[in-house]
Amino acid sequence: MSVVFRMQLRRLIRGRKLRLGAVSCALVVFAVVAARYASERDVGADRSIELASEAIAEGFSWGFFKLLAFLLPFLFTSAAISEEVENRTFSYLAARPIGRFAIALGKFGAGAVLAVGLIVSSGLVLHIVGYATEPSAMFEAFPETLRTLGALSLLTVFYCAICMLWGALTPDASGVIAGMYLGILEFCCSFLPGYFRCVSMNYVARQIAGYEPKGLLPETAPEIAPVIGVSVILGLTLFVVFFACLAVRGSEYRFAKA
Amino acid sequence: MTDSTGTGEHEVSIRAVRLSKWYGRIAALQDVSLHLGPGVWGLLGPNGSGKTTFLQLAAGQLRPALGEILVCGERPFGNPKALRRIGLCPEADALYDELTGLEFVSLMAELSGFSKKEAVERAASSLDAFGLVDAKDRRIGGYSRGMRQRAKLAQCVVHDPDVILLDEPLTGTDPASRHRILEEVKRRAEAGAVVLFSTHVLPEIEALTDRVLLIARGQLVAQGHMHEIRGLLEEHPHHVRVYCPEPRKLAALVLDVEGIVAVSFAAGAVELMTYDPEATYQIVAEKVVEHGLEIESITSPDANLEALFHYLVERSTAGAGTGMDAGVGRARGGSAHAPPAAAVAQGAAPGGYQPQATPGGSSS
Repeated sequence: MSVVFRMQLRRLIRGRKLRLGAVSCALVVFAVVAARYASERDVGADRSIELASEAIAEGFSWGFFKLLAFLLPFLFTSAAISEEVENRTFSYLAARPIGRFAIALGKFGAGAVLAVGLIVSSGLVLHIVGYATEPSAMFEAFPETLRTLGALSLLTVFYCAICMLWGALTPDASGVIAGMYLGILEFCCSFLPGYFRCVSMNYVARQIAGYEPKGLLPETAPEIAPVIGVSVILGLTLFVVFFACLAVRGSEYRFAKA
Repeated sequence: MTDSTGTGEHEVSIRAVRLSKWYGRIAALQDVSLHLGPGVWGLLGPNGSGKTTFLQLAAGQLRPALGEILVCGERPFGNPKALRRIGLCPEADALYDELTGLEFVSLMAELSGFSKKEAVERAASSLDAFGLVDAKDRRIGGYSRGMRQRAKLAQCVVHDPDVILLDEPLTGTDPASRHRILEEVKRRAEAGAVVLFSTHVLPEIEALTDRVLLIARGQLVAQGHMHEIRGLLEEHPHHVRVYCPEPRKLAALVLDVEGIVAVSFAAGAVELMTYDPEATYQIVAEKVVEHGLEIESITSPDANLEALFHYLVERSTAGAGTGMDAGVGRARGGSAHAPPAAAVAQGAAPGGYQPQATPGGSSS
């Protein structure tokens, strides 16, 4: 598995997708930082800290939870299997005595590590640059940022698993189906009222990070304890990864079309 | 390389028993039975005949729909024990363009179970064997077509497999590379490996081996030695098409000529079926001169391997309804011009036309 992991990581690092992901992260961080400093004109220190905190929280909420957490897993894992099938390179891996579980896990691992790495590093940059003018607040707010980054990492890994599963099940249309799943069940459902929004792990992750519910009738949205939220996302991730591995293991992937 | 002398699970062989594979409603391979032992075997067939499907089944990439395929006594699909002994060079010009040649081949060796250090050593040696040592640190994306082909071959043999499956490996290679590839393949076959070499180009096989399997429309239509295949080419009826303004007049003149077995008409042409095309050309020329006819052109649309496949498939179709092996659709030598006894189409046949494709009967 480690060989597939290394191989996939190397390919991703040398490919365009990493550059695209890095540029997206940089744009999000730049936009949040620009908004944070644009609003700070002749205000006192307390107000400045307040503005920084608000800007960073909104930046994480929209830029990370609602954008990067979807984009990066989609970039790095949705095509991990389907691209190989389409390019006909999967036969090199399938002809080796490593077992298809290892192929799927190695590819999932590489995509997840890269996505989480980019999210966490961008989050840290945002935190440092956002609080650059208020060093004391930077240290005080750090645990909160870490909690947010932990929730984001968990969510990113789950989305990687989802993208991997759809890529393994439907290599011909992995991007479309993974995109629809994430768009409808994860993005749209996270705004629904009441318990409906529990369908979305995005909402659960935001609860873990300690964000207030927003969207339709936010007061009806249930509160989820962090321990329960973490357990649910972890459990689902393991479940989805297992099914993705099963899909890769059993499929012939139409190596030789008639 | 594993010892190949014994039988059972350590035997170096490919054995197919009534192997069939469908893609939806399309039969890609039908009822193929064979047993291949060490040495080079040519797998000949026109495009779309089922060669790649057979190789993919042998490489464990596909599961048989019916029947069984065993490589070194093991079913290959999802079986690491069997896959460890198989090397596959796929037909598609598909490689990991982001990796260097050395990285690609060494990673493939690592995937076959070698340590990182040993994998790098093996990869360097394998790339050297195919003349890629100078380009080993360049990205594969920058390789020429021939270099890519050799990189595919290097990964195929990097783990010293007992069974080497080569799907059109000479595509895009220059004469020097071709020579090097053929030498390496021969060397490995002499060391005891089973090499199954798929192509639709007859001379490629002739340079490498005398033993060939002919596959067409998913069926193994013949199996034998190269000179026998050549014999089949000469013995099957040829079509000679003569384009002329008065095809019916010309047809009437050649109808009673010895050697011409059938006459038919195409648009603006008369088509003659003959076992001796050279003599037919001569006779047509004589008749034309003698009777003052005009001709536009004379062609022989099927004087090649493709035509032989077509001929064998037609024979197999004709034989399928006789009751002897109906439903199996095997080729047989029922015609007056049956191939020689040693050149074998599958299935029982009159006139001493015996099959060699039975398991165990053709491997060594």
